[in-house]
Amino acid sequence: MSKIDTNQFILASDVDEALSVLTQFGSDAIVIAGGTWVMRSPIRQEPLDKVFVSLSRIKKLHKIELNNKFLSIGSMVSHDRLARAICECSDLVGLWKAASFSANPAIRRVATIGGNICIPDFYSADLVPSLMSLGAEVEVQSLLEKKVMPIDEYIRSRGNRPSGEIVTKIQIPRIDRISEHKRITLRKAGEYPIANLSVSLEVTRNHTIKQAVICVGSVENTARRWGSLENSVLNRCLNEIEVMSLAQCYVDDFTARDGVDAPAWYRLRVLPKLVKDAFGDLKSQCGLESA
Amino acid sequence: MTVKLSINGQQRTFSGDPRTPLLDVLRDTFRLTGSKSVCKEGYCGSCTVHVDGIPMMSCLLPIGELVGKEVWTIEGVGSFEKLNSIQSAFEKFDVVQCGMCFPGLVMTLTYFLKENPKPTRDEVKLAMNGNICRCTGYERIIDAVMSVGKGGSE
Repeated sequence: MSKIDTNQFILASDVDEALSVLTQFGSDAIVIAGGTWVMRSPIRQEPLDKVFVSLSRIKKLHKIELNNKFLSIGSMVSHDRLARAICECSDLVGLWKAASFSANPAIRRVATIGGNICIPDFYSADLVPSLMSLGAEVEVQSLLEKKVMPIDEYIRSRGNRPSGEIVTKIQIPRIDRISEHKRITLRKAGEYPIANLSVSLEVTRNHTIKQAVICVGSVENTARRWGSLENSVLNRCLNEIEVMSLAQCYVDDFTARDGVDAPAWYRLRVLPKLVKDAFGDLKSQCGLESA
Repeated sequence: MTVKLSINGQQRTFSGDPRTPLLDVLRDTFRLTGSKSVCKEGYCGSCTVHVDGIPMMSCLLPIGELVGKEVWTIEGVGSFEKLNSIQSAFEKFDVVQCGMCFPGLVMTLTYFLKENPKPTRDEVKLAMNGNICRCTGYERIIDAVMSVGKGGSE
């Protein structure tokens, strides 16, 4: 067990206090959001003897704002609260599913959206591809500045970001679109997906795809968009069988990761099926029968 | 660090490493061994307790986070003379096997039935996701829950 230091847990009361402590201690401090990742550090053989800076008492970070133009989510909002807040938003079905079915109920009540986004080594996060597919932006605050950036950019840079900053909120534009999220688990992977896929589409009245964002998580170390498939589905009708065939053609765009939960080849093998299921459900959302 | 919190309705004080999981504090400091220490990674649910009324995995909660919070463990949900409704149903349906998962299941399902008093069988199954029974006695557990939450459709 690590040596006890009784002064190493700071329950920050506001963002500035948290930022001051993080800046002061640098890499000796660690942000604790829901705690579900940090508290498992010993299992990953990672040190736990850091100054814990808890954000749980910062009210501002727990706020959800939902209107016709945007959804704003404080970084300390749990998966469970997020799912309850957006359960009636037809454009956010994908995000609702990602938040509703990740991990297990007790974890969802504690794990936060900020934690999902900020941890570079958590490859199988469900919220990340979903937020990417919806064009989310991330607000990042340090003692010096407050910045807003596309989530893709944040995710790409998160492994090298300075220690004295905090993600404070995530904002998603609300537009006329449909969205889905699919995941595949295996017993060996527990309740975490070995591959997941988020899709957001803008479709015409006759169900032709005019905009598509397709994101894949858990296959590589970092979730990312599937550009070739996005381009190939444009101006096509919603047809899950056709899109699955296209997905099979482009599956080698990914360099899948080997893991104890699943081998690389298997993650690629299941991707087209995820695509089929996602597009089938998107068709149902449009009132069409899936094949 | 000194942490003051309420455990099963009693004010308690913990002095020590604030990063210690609540589960270890319950078992090692306060000798409340009903919450089981099994996977210690939020996967099995054997350590589930209520924090401010919400079921959470105590293995993943650092005690420093719980200043001023109200914690209820399996020792606090019923008494020897008067079990709570889930405990009674488990007894009536002879559900208990090895007993490792039961404290967590009682905590999870007690909350679940408060939220959803007339569940369907599928809803019970979904609620139990995250509470693993190694003896695989799930069907009898579900039967017991359905008997308490009677009125829900199959």
